[in-house]
Amino acid sequence: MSLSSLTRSLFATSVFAALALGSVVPLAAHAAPLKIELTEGVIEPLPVAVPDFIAQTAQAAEFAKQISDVIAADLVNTGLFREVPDSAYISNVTSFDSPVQYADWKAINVQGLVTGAVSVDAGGNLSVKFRVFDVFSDGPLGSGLQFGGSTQSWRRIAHKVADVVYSRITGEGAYFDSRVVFVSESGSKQAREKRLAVMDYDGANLQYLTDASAIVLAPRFSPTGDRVLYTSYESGFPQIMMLDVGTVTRRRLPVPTESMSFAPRFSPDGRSVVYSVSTGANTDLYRMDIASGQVARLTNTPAIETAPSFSPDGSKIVFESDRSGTQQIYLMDAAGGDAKRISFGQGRYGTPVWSPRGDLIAFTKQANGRFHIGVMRTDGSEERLLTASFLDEGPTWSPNGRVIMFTRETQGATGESGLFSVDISGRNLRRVPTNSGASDPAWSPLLK
Amino acid sequence: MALAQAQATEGPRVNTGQYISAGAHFGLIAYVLLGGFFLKPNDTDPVQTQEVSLISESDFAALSRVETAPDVPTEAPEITAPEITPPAVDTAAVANAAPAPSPPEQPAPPTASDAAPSPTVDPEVSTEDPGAGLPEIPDQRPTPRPVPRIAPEAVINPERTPDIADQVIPEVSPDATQTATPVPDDPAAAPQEAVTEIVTEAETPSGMSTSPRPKSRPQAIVTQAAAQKAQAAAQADSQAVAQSDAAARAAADAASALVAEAASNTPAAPRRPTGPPMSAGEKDALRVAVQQCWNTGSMSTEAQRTKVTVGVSMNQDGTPIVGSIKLLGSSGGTAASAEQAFQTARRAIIICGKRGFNLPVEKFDEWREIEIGFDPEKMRFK
Repeated sequence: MSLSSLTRSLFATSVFAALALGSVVPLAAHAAPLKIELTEGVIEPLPVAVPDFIAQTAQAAEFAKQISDVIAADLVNTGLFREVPDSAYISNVTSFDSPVQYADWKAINVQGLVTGAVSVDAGGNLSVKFRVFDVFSDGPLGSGLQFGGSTQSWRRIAHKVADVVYSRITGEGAYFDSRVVFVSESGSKQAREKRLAVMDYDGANLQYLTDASAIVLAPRFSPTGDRVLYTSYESGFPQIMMLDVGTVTRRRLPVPTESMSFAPRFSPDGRSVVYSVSTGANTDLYRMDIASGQVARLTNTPAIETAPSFSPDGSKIVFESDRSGTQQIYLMDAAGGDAKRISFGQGRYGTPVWSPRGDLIAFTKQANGRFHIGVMRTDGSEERLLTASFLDEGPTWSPNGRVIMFTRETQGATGESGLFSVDISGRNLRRVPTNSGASDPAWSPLLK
Repeated sequence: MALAQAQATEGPRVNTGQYISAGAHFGLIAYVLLGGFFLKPNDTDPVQTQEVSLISESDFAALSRVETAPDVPTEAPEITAPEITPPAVDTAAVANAAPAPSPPEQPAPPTASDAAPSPTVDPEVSTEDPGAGLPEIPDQRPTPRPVPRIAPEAVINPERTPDIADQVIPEVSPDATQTATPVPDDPAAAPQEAVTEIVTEAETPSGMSTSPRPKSRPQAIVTQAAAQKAQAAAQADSQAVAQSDAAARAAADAASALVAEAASNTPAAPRRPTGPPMSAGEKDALRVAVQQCWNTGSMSTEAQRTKVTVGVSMNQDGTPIVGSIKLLGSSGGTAASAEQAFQTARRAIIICGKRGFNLPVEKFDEWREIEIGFDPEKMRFK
């Protein structure tokens, strides 16, 4: 009997161990996973839905739809999104807090969903709250947010909402809540009037900063967006002016009046200005401390060197020079010194502008009788031309470094200039709406 | 003189005979040569033919059996009996036959009696295991067949029912176990079969590596075998210690083999049919299917420099298990860009896989788990 009990216990222990291990490692025998590599995909606008925001008060009714429309337009204008029309909706959003019917949105292939509500209190303060949903994740994309302001600033609020949506879906920085200063042109080519104007990035809220009494050129925003540098022919000579956007007051930089100064640009800290001074046949780069008026010469060559632009960290300056015989792009320290040529392609390169992200330099290129807007890495590699036309020039970066705006002028006596934007991938070339001819755009930083 | 006379008298007799012979021969020859012209044979009546077909002995026997069935009722059951009853339970069957015939006849519904024995048989065979019970399934399948055949005959000829019932009843051995003496024989046979099966599956762990989904089977077999062994051991304790020791050792060996097998992560038996590895064309088809939904247009420029590797578990119908999609690794970007690239890849898998990728079902083990590398480098400036 002892032997029998021993064998039974042995049996029971073995069976128990087998069952236990079998339950612990049930999937241990799976084959190795199948591995594949994808290097090719598709580039298509992402389908999004922006149902009309819910008007929670009677006064908010007129803003609810307008805000929704601006948000949708901002997203669509990037070229990265496609709005699914509300006629395709299966379920309607009737309440801001109602649960999202993901299946309904999936059925119409909506991948991003934006819902929101608008209210206006007795004091005229506008409040907009919203949520972003990743439909195919069956969940919200981040937490809900709320913006408030006056009813007059409803457009800015809409841009801010769109910025959040754009950033959450794409991972890029925002740029919708920004402005563009440019030269508004009117009249024929022989008698063209030019004055400074500022508008929202999408062409709305146009305002003029100067009158048409003097020719103005090349406006540039300060890093904080509160000031604008530009070149004015008020005195008959090109002089650098600084304009306060808030008060629309201007003053001339203390540059010697006997020389021509132009192509100014703020340093990243906003405390100094780098510009070109032309004396005789020579043009060199200078840097001026705004507060003290102290000037430092950065280049000293017999060539024409102009269009300087700081790197985002302020340590480098990229500029154009013909010191090699043709117009090319060079790089040097912000304090001046030896410059390194970074453009080596055929044709002429000019107006380099450093990306706010610091990874690329945009430029104008003239080759084979055509003008191009292009980008290259800061060492001159990976040059890519984004546009081609009769005359494209003067690129400026969006605050997030994803979009470039520039001037395009059409050919002929009746040709006019206008503003265009293009994604740095070369896609989504669009004309920026202006009520007249426009040139020399400069993108502001993201507004606070 | 007499001889001469005799010869003289015989002379004309010989000539006469010769004449007759010659005449007869001449007549015969003439008949042969010329008879056809004068003596035409009459047209023979047409022979009537009839087509017949060949049948085998078994067919003939079957035909004759049917015909003769009512005449000789005892012959038919004798033919079917040896075919249907492979187990050599002769004595037990005969012994069980005696009590069985009378009950099924009286209640009239034989189906009830059929339903009763079947569940008792099933647990022994363990129908839950599709693979382990394969050799025993043929034994089960024939059992229901004779029942419907027998039932109508039994109704028609009550005299034959007892003969047929002899065959059905021996299969319902559990009834006999309840009675008395034959019990030890039947359970003794069942455990031996189970033991051999368990041993064979446990003894071939290395061979099982070619078919990697056998986990569920061994577990079920072990449990069933263990239960059977436990019963066998309990019965053996009451009968013979030696037999129980052998059975227990066999079960313990089987269990230990499974333990070793599980510990070594080697499959014991195939759970599903496995085929050859995925061909290059099949992999390309999957790659093309996924990349059709891999929309890099909305990715940030930083994410477009980030390569991510995504793991996904698949259903057998080719659809991805959404909850299983996970980021396995990334390179070339920040954590934020990796997350953004992962979300883009995740959407591609979900959207294009919602109707199921076109994958060969017979190679499910090859694509049950998939790792997809998403490298957007070529898409950045496209």
